[in-house]
Amino acid sequence: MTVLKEAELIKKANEMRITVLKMMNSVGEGHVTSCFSCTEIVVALYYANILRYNPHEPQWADRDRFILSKGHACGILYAILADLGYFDRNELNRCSQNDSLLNLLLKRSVPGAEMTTGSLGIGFGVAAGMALGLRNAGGNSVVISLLGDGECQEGSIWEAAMFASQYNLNNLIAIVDHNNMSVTDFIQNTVGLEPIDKRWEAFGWAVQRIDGHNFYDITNALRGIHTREDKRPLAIIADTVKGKGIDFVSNVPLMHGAALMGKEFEEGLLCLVGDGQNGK
Amino acid sequence: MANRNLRDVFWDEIYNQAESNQKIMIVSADLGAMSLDKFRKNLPGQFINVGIAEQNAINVATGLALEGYRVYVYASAPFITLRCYEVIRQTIAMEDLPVTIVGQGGGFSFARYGSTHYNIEDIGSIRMLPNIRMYCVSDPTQTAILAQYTLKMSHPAYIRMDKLAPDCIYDEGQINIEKGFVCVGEECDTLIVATGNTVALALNAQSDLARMNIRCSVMDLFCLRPNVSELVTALIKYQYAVAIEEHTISCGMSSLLCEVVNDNEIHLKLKRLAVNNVDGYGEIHGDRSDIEKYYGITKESIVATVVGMKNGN
Repeated sequence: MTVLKEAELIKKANEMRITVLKMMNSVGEGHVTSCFSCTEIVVALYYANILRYNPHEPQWADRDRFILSKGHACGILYAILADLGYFDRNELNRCSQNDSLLNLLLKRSVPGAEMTTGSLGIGFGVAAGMALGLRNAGGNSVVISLLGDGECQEGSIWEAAMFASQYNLNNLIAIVDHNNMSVTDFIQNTVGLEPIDKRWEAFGWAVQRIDGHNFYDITNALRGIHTREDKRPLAIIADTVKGKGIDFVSNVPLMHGAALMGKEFEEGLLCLVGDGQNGK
Repeated sequence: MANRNLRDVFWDEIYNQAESNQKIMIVSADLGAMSLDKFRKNLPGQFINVGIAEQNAINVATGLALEGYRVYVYASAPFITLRCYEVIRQTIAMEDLPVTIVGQGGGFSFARYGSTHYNIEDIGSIRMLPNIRMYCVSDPTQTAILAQYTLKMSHPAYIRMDKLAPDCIYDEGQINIEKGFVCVGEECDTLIVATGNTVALALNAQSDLARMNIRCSVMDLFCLRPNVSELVTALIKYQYAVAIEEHTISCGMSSLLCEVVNDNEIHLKLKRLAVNNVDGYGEIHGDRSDIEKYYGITKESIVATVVGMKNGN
């Protein structure tokens, strides 16, 4: 496991955003802004002593499971898994090429990935099943699932949420990347989710609401997850900005699924290389 | 002694293994059976009721399978196949996980409830998915052997379980799950192909035709992904065939037969008795036999079709 201090985490988040921007640029499409809203969250999971994992043994039985239910953000996970040595970094440059390891949505065949995701509303229920299986087996591994807030419009999310609280799956943690946007519009303009924290509470979950770009908030919310006494599963509503790090793509609905190309790519890169302060 | 319901035969076999194997789990979408009461009482950690939430049943089963469990999902057949079809595709099918879906209520099992509970599109739907093996059982012996087989499978499976408690048709030695079908009758030029509950109709038609001095064999095609080379070898012996099923005429067992006949250039005159729902399901109410009559899925239809084919129609 790699453990970084807060200043290093901020640098790492910036580095990972740059990796994602370049990867999507080489493919010509991809969910850059979906990756950027959850960059600090995923970086914290892997570099802030939260998840237990072993890049040299991806299927290590006592590892924690990370289910990226919002599979569209696989770019940020790929960047991190490559950085940690799960697979060769060169695979990032080959994404979506003929016979490549990586694609624009997450496949379980990627070392370090637990589940194929991309069809929204599925990974979270699978995570609940894994949490039940792990608890029955007697281990203390936890399952952390990262959901999109738009994904929470899927009914299957709430089926799984009801199930997890009914079965007291306190080894299951849902982190909702609450960037307020889905594909075409802001969430409140489609089918609103607020008060999203109250909704999770009503479904029997312990809930925390945090700034999803603040490493102190993220690590604080996840402290002690392996020894939780509360029987309820834990939902962390992480308020984020879709496209965080590059102002001209932040909170722009039509940027969903778009890579930055040409001049926009150069300008985006300058934003990230320029200050390295994302995450503050 | 009354016949045992097929689902109870199945679950009793699984229970006997689950007693000594904690990795066997049942995920029920709020569906019960007398035989499952034992699970609830004696093995509560291995019986999970997810409530009326079929999508979640499949997702939870997937998570359990990824953690090394052998999982059985039990739910009403039309809902567990069609309500969460895409979920099945993304999870147990694409990931090729050892999850067996037991869909209760094949065909018109729940005829009295009307068209919401008809289960006549499941075979076609599941046939399109990768990796899933599919079975439609007709007899307690076959069901028990299939249950044992699923305990060792490394692939997903869907079992279309009829509501009936039929008479025993087979001895153990007649059933070969890998082969996928079993034939009853002497060698002749005419074959009746059936699956699930229509096997009993086919056997009754076979008897009626025998009284008319028309000999027929009956093929119980209980696996809807059978061993094709074995099936071809069996089919080339016949000149005439009638296929009967409680499924839409599109994409079901009889369509499978058409594909095998066509793709292997078998010279077989094949007629099909199945549900034509192009113009909807009709407002027919009644018990199962009434619905079967409405759609022409009867012993009498088989006899008339065979006689007609023999007379050159």
